[in-house]
Amino acid sequence: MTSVGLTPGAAYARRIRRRGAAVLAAALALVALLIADLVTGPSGMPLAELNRALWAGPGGEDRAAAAILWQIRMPQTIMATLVGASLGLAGLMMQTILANPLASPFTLGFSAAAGFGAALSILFGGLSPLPQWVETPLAAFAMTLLSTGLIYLVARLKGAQPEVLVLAGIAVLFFFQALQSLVQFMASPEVLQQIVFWLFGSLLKASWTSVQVAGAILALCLPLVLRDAWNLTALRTGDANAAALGLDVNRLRRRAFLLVAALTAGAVSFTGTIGFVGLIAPHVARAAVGEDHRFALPMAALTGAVILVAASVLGKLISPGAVIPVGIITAVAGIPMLLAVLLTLKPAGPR
Amino acid sequence: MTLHASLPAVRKGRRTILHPLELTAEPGQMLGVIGPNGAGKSTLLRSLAGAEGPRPPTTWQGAPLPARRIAYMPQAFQISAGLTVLECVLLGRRETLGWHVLPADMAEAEAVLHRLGLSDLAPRGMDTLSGGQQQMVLLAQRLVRAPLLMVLDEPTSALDLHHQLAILRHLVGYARSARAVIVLALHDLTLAARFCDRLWLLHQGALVDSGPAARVLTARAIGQCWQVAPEILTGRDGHPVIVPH
Repeated sequence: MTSVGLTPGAAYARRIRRRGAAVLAAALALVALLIADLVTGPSGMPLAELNRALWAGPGGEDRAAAAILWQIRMPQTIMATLVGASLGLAGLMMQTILANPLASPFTLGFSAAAGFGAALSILFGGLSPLPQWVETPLAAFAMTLLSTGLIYLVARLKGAQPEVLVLAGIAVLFFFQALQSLVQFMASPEVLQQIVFWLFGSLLKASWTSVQVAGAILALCLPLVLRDAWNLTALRTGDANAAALGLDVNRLRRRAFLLVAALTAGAVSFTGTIGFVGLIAPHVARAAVGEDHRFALPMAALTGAVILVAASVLGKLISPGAVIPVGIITAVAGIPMLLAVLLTLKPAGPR
Repeated sequence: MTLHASLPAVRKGRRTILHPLELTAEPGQMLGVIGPNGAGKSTLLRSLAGAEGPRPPTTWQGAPLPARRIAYMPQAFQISAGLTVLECVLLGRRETLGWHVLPADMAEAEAVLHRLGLSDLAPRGMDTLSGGQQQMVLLAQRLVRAPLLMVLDEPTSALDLHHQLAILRHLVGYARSARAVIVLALHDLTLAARFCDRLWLLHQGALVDSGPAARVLTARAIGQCWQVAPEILTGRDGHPVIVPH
């Protein structure tokens, strides 16, 4: 019996309901933000008009409204959701498998690798027969997987302990950052501008193609991620303990690592570098629903999506007529958010 | 014999830290592994549990003992995760937990917590517990696995005297009622003598002696292995009481 007279099982059931409610609340917040994102933009569009254009579909009679909603805003809004969810999910898995609250796709060099790939493609654009809009994301994607491959190789040779992975990740971060600088140094001012614009991380690059690719990757990874929910929770009790429960700790780490790579590559190859989402979303998720990964994983995905869609709305509201890239918003807003997370939220403890 | 395990030699660099061993035990027995620091107790337990290299051939009534039925508890533990005690115990059923926690799993976790007197702690966060409380929760996590072989590395090292006795009594009870074998390392020779059916005395990576406490715990053996001159008294229940000098 607990102090409130509930059996442990009944108290647990209540806790589970509370967590479910928190996940639901995040989902509702996301829906509200999605609507806010669709109605904001340089060309304006009141809610009633949005509603009409939404129901009329891409082939609606009001061509201007249909084009704005279905060709410009909708792909951007969906892309923000997909990228935010992918980064939130990847961030939580990374922090869990590395037992490190500072780990994220950004801090371990995945984004730097993607940026180098994109910069390379922009600098030597036209070398491949592919059009630029296909080649750049493809190069970013390939380079992200290559960076993962490097870390994975080290983990294979040396064992997938957190220290090994973190050190290899930091090495990869500096390596690709240096290469990126080299490319920027070699580039002409015009090309440099293009590279820098790519690196900003902006939803303006979103299209239905990018939505399909990022969406497919998320849809493929999500069930695989969720299947390991209990295993990831078990890992939080420490390597020795998790291994004693019959869990192959190293194999779980390698598997999760590959999923993180796929999710990150899918997210950043189309939009560019978006920092802090993968770092903050997991902290918010854990503070809200605890470390039971059945809830923390969906919550981290939802939180990531909420942050990025909110950043998108903010980017459109700050300076009317222009759109500030979300990568800049998340980076600027990320620092006070991170401090707020550190100061106000209890980092550990069950919810 | 019901349990049979052949442990291979364990080497670190050129040093042999554990010589090959054949271990046998009967169901319902509690077996104590004793020896001075560095004798190879933890290595033996890790090896037996399959946590040190490949799992050694282990049979139960002639058939291979599945890994699922072995519960190993390492000596070091430090859980800072924001998990509740109940969640932590539920994780012991990791292999069978579905997306929803089944009533059977929940009932078993509640029952084990109740038996260990930990029900009040169930909603508490693991990171708010003392070392001794964490150790008992981890033991509960092992017990919900309903193991046939429990391998415990100093399961009472963080516990006060009262809880040491309670836990050891509980473990003996589990071994007897579940017809399981419990192999545990203990530093306290008096407790080992009182609760274990047989003792395995390790010294410098080799099995020096094994058998009932009264036979293994001689003044000569203790002097040789621990470099102390003990006084061996006889307790109320006939078990040896070791007083080191």
